[in-house]
Amino acid sequence: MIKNDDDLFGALADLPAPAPDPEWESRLRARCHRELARKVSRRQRARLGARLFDLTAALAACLYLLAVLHFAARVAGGG
Amino acid sequence: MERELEVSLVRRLRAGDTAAFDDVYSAFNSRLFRFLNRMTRNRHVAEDLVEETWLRLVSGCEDLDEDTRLGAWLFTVARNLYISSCRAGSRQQSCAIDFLSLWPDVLSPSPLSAAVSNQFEECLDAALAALPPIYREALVLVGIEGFRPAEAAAICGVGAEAFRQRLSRARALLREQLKTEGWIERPEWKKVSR
Repeated sequence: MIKNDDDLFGALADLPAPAPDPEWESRLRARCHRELARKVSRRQRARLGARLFDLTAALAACLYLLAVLHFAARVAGGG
Repeated sequence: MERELEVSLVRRLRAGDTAAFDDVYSAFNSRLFRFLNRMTRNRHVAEDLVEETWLRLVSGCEDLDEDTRLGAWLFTVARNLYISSCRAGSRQQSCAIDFLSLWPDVLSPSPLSAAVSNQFEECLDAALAALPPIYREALVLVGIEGFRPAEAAAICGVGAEAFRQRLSRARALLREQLKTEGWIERPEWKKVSR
């Protein structure tokens, strides 16, 4: 018998609830693991791509600088 | 869940740590299922919505704020998905209730007390199910899932005062229903602060 709000909340908390199906739970967990792994590998690929891009850009900048220096040396030598 | 543990789980989740995901999953999957099952009254719909909730977490884990409250975050997403599903297919009207799954076998001391207890639980469950969803969710979040009213208010996207009124109205409606069924001992009701 319910007498007050405490009893009501106690009864609500004790209300039997269905448990999720263990098979469904493990299927869902595995699916989330796959999604997480895919996400991590995508992130790693993107990070690698960005690093390669940085490296290529740095290399191109160095080559350009070398070419400029070389040209400047030739102009200075010729004058 | 302890705050320090939660912060560390969020940090690891952002890095895509599956062990951290497992810890969060173990802590919240049954609760999310229970909440959505109470809201949808349909086991299969609840499973679909729980699944979508977890996939949202996985797909958005790197965008989580460091101070994210995982429980509140997951229940907010679950609730929003439930509302979207109601809008999409008027799920509230669904009568496909999996009664067998709602009443697991529980051993009780005597057949009489078992019968009385089951009768009461069935009555309470039916009364809860009959409440309009906004009142039902208030009672489920606070009374069953143990959220503080302020947390539940944030999950429901309303202010603390609005939620307090909603919870109070929900209690009154449930009480009324139980009174009609003869489960309330006396008319004068002792209020406690929740």
